[in-house]
Amino acid sequence: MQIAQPAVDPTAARTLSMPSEDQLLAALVDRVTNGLCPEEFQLARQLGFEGYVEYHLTPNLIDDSALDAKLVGLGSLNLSAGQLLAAYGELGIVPLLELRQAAVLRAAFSKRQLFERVVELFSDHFNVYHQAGLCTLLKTVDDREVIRAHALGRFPELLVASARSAAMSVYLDNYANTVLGAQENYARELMELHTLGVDGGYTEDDVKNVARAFTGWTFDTTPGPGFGDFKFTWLLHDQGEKTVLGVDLPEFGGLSDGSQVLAILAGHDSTARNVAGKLCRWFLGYDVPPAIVERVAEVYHSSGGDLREMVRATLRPEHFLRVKPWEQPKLKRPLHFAASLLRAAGIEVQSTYLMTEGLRRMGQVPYDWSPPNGYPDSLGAWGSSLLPRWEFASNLLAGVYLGCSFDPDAFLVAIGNPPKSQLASAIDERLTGGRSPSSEVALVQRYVDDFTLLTGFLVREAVALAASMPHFQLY
Amino acid sequence: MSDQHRDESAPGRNDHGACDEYRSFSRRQFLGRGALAGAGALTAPLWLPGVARAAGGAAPRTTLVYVLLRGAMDGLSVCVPHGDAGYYQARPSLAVPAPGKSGGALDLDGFFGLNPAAAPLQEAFAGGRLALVHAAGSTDPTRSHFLAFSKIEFGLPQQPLGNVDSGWLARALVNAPPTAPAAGLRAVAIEDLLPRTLAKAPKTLAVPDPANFAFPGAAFTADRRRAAIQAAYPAALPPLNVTAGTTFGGIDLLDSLGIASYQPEPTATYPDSTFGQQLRAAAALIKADVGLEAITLDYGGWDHHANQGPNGGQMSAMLDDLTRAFAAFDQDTLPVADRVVLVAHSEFGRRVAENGSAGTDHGHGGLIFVQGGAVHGGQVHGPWPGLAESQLDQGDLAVTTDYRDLLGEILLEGMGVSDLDAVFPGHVHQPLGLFG
Repeated sequence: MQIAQPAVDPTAARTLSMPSEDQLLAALVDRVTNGLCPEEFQLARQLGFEGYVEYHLTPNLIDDSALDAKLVGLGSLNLSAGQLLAAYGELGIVPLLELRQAAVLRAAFSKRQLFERVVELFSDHFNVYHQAGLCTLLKTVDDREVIRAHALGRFPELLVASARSAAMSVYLDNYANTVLGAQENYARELMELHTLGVDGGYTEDDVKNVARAFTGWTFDTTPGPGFGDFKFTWLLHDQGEKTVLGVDLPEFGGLSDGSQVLAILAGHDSTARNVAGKLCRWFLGYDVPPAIVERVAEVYHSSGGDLREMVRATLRPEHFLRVKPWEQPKLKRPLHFAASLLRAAGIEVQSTYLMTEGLRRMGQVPYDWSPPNGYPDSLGAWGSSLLPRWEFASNLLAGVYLGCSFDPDAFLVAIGNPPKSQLASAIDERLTGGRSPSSEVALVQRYVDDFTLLTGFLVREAVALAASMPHFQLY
Repeated sequence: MSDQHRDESAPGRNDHGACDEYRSFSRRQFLGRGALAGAGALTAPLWLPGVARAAGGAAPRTTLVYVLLRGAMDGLSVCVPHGDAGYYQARPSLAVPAPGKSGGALDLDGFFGLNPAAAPLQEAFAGGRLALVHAAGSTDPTRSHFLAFSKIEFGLPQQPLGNVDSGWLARALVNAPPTAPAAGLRAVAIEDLLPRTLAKAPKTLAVPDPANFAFPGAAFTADRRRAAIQAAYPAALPPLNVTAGTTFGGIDLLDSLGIASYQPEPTATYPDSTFGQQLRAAAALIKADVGLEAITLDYGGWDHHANQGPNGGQMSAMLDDLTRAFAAFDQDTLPVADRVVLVAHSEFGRRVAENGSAGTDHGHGGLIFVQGGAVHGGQVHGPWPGLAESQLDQGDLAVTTDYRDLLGEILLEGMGVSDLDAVFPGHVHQPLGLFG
């Protein structure tokens, strides 16, 4: 999988250089998946840019039985909240560990890679801190029935599902928001983070009125089959008149107060821009031209907030040519870095329990960000920490994380049994499609050259070293 | 890449040819400095104050330990205004009782008292090393955690965020001559990620656990793997290039210090909590005297919208942990107290009136902790705006002390900054008289 670089004409101005077709496709695979691999790249070549995007936009048609087999042992994933409570108790340690493991396995090994990327984005957008009380149980349901159920569906439905989610209610305290005393935690983050954005045009009075609108929105706390189900408690609802963003909600609105607020927010132009901006940043780059965001925001309006349509509108070849990922790369977040290395090295994962310590040191255990804004997607946030990445690569390849195993012999076969003198470039082809700067490959090869024999130990160290190089941090 | 690059990381080898970032602090230089003080070898712990100064000869300077209490701590439940009747009217179920009553506040000055869970602060307060500044914070009116922190950390409350990309502490370091020009690290964030306070700071690194920051993998190949990585990163995308350089400086520095075997002063008992251990590491770094000018820490989780306490509830266990750690740090840094200042605050305080779920919503004025030997401690500073309805700012405690005035004073008095306008542009500095 050697990706052709564009012909270099030293006399041509840099702005005139066009990427090769392969380079464009590789950039697409980089952004659609958690790490380029030969199968995905060949698929992109075969289907073309738009065909590859379409393929990934209908994830249910992609066979994912290999992943499903890896998830079979994680018995808590498909249980209801009531079943989880009965089986694991309030502490919910097993569901917490199993959901973390599922997050890593899905990111690394699902064939529905674009879907998983969108799931990750909205898991942060509608962040729920896994360790917040009952969320050890309830996040399993939130992940399945809110985020995954709606990730490529309609944003307004995702928003409603999140507002009715017991996990969100626990995390942002809305279960405790009642007529006896409104409290604003959910109301504020609903507008600031989930919909309008901090500059989206709401006031402190709006926050107070939205909080009143959601009084009585809670969930069933009785152990049994209904545990965790959404519940509206009339007696705890503030029945007074409210005004939200200039819209009057007459008295005695009951449950419809909150539903109306969600509809107002979902239909607001600030929400369209906020969601479009997130998608563009996620898939295109840290600094996307406003005209592109505007175009995706228009699709929000024209499609009723259809996220599949918005992702389709974001992943356009002309947008890639404009933002030039090959010149303006993004920094992989730690989970992305880990998943890309698991994919590239062909690691067999039985358990992520010990690997989680490595994720923690890099700063990104799944669902473990306590503030409601979700893990950041920025160079500044993650670019100040490299040693934990080098350590993760080294530990993973050396077998320190029990439950994750690397087979040097199988890996050598997979990269075409190169002679020792070609080991670094063969590894680079596997890890990056052969796109690392030649200076980085040469440094790895020089390291390899110091050994007389091509041993399993050397393969482990060389792969870890290649994964520690600057290029593998980027996508 | 030349062979010089392969060698530059190895201890004791020539470091000609390395770029400035990498050359700035090699293990050899550090060992050389240790030798000056008679410590001599890697095996000798270097808990010998005065080493860097002896080598560099710079004037004594303050090391700032800056703790952000993310989530908006309720200052009214920590430094309790028991003398203000408005407090008990606004907090029928959440107020800390007046001193003398069961579970009552520990009186400080007849008007304010400490939450009993903050009792560990009493010693430093009585000893004049701890000051509390009430009704303090950012003058920006936002009640959003994230916007408030962005503005506080960038240090420019009046400006749109898009215009700013460096932290106030970063600008302070840029505008002060280094304490020890040869020091490889001027600031350390004992956090997973570098905070925006330190965005674009020179010679600065995030070190989540200073006792565990070693180059990974098999020891017998470490030098060669390290040389390869070290040679590759100078050409990497910023800020990765700079991060790599300071990372290697940090690895060598922390390796030579051996934080894991650090022994605090006998009177200092740190809690076993993450924060307690982080402050312990901060004390170790300061007492090693290797030229660190600032250390940042992050203690989040103060967003107590429900079941806040303060007697029992979510807050008191956190407050106990926080204040025991502060007290241990106070005791542990007594030998160097005159050149250490710890400042801790939140993005804003919480609403004066309690909410319906035994908690409080987002407010405005908050509490700032200032601890150190040079601090005019033993008092609660800042004009008290009062808690009567008419005295509130949209239902919240008003801000009568701008956090920049407090920090500005530390920067001017102790940290070698002479041009405060470069740190807080457009801000008219009004010193509180906390120092000097």
